[in-house]
Amino acid sequence: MNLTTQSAASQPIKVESVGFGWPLIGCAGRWLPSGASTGFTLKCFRRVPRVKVNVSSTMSGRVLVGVKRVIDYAVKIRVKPDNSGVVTDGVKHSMNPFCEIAVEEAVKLKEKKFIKEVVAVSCGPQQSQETIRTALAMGADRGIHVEVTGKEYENIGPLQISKIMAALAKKEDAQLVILGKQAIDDDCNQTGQMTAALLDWPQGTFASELTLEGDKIKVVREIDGGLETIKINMPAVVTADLRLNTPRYATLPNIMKAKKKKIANMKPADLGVDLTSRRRGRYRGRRSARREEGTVY
Amino acid sequence: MAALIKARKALGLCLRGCRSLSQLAELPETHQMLRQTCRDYADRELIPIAAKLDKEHSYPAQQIQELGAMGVMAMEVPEELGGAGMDYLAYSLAMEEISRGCASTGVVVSVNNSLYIGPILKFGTEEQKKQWITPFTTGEKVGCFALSEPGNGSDAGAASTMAHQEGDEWVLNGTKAWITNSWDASATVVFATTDKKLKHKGISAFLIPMPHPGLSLGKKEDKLGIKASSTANIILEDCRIPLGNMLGPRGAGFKIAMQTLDSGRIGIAAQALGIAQASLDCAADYAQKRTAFGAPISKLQSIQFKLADMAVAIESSRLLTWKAALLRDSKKPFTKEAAMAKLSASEAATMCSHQAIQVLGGMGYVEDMPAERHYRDARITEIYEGTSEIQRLVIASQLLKEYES
Repeated sequence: MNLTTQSAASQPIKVESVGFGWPLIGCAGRWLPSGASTGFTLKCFRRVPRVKVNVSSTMSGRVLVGVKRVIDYAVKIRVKPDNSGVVTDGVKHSMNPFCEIAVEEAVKLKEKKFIKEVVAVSCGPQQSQETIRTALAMGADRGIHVEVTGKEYENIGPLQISKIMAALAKKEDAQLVILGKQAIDDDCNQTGQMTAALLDWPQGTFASELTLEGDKIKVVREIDGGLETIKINMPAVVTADLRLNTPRYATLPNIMKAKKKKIANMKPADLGVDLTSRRRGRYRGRRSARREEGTVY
Repeated sequence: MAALIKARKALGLCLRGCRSLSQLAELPETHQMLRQTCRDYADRELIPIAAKLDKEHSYPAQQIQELGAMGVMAMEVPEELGGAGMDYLAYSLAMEEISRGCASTGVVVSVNNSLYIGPILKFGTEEQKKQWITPFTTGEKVGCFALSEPGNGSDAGAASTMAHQEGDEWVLNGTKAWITNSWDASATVVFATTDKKLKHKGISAFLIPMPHPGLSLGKKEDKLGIKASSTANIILEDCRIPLGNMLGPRGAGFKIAMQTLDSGRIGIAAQALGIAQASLDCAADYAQKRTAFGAPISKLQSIQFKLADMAVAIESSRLLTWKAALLRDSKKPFTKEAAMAKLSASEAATMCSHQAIQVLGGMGYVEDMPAERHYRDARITEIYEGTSEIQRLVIASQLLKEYES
């Protein structure tokens, strides 16, 4: 890993862009040995090769927030009898909790006047529009629904979504893309990182604190070793972790206003995105193993 | 012939109401979102603390403020005055979901919305609305409704609280009983007799801030249920208020009270629905987990029949409530439907909570499960804002008017 702790002598090097080493950091999660303290703050600046990034001097003030429609966290998941997947018909769905946190952060930035517009994006079938409406009721300004249905929807994963998000980020001239760190149905924790890589933008993942400073963002990340503070240039991708904020309940007047806000419809083909799945394997669902009573280590 | 036309008119009115309800195969999207938001709020913020609020008799001040921020404390109030500007169908949906979480919080919301803000919104001057409604939309202040007295509850026309004019002030004397929110309220709508000779046409409505010299509160009643909301007497001893504090014209008090209670009934019907639904949820969940005779008890017909009866009672009361709300929203007469909704829903609540305890057996009798709290909370819905007997009188009188030749 390219980690260098700041010492008195060395110069902190500012992160300007992201190379290929980044996605590994998010997925590498090691288990901490029990008793390890996670309370200390690790202030470090990453040493990454500088890559020229085309950043416009006048930021558009637009933030893209990805929201995913997932099975509600409180629902008891049932595996289909043929083990091909989980039962989704008639099951309660809601916005991914980390996406709620992402929307809340974007709306907070708008309220503090750091940014001008919050655009909520969702990829999926017709019902994804409900999720976008919830984001609009929380304070997003408009929505984009990228329609993906049926068999295609069953087969897409973070790679395809990040291609769509990257295309939209370029199309909408977004200065910031905020996503939830992971979705609670697949727990992939890849979309944010892949989106940043496709756009060649810096990324601040597992953000528990986000501050905009001029055309840079200070991100406090929750990592295995504790908290890490990084400063990245905009445009950037940030993924929201649990302690970033507490999402608000939509107020009734906002729910009424959400009805009037626009949701644009488009297909992945309109963005030039190819949705072919790179996955070869078949989903095999299995019930979790029966655990015996006994000592828990 | 005239009778036929009248009957057809009545039927037409009903059908028009029905048609809009049948178009309502699904609630409008905003109402669905509102319902979901309130449900999420109840699940996350109210259900976890409901038992504690009940045990400690503590007023849910923080939750009321949060609900105020969401706009739930003043749902019908137009946005210019600080409210949410929504219709009564939305209000009944919100009430049901909140009461499903905590019935006491539900009654606080209902009294503020229908009984306090309701009459001021309908009968108050612009000045009065700004002074008495706007501060009460955020949840920081709540209001109450003082109609009942120790000497008359159902007999609202015999108000013995007197009000006489002295110079440029009204002076009120008397006692009001069973006032919900009294200990937590910052204002009240009080009904007092201004002209005893005119009997019920001599009652007027007044707005009194709380606390106020001359207005004192009796001791908090120790109730069977809805323990987190305060109920007490309001004692008026030479309580002086400016002339501008009269609500509506002199002598209109009885009419104001009756019309306010008509709307309040829809809110209480929704509260009863929430309690009934919570009981059904509790019973059905338990029935699927509890095993007896080698299988979950939900496989037993006797339990299934109970659950089915509960579901039918709830669903029919819900449709009655929605119909009453829709009629009110379309500014059509809704007195009979509102009374039917309240009667049906409150009896459904007591039946469902009773059966829920039965399904839970021993567990239904202890405080570990919420069934006993629903049983206690449900009982009051058949009594306040018009007892079930009064509802029957109202329904019968409206019904017979339709058959008059």
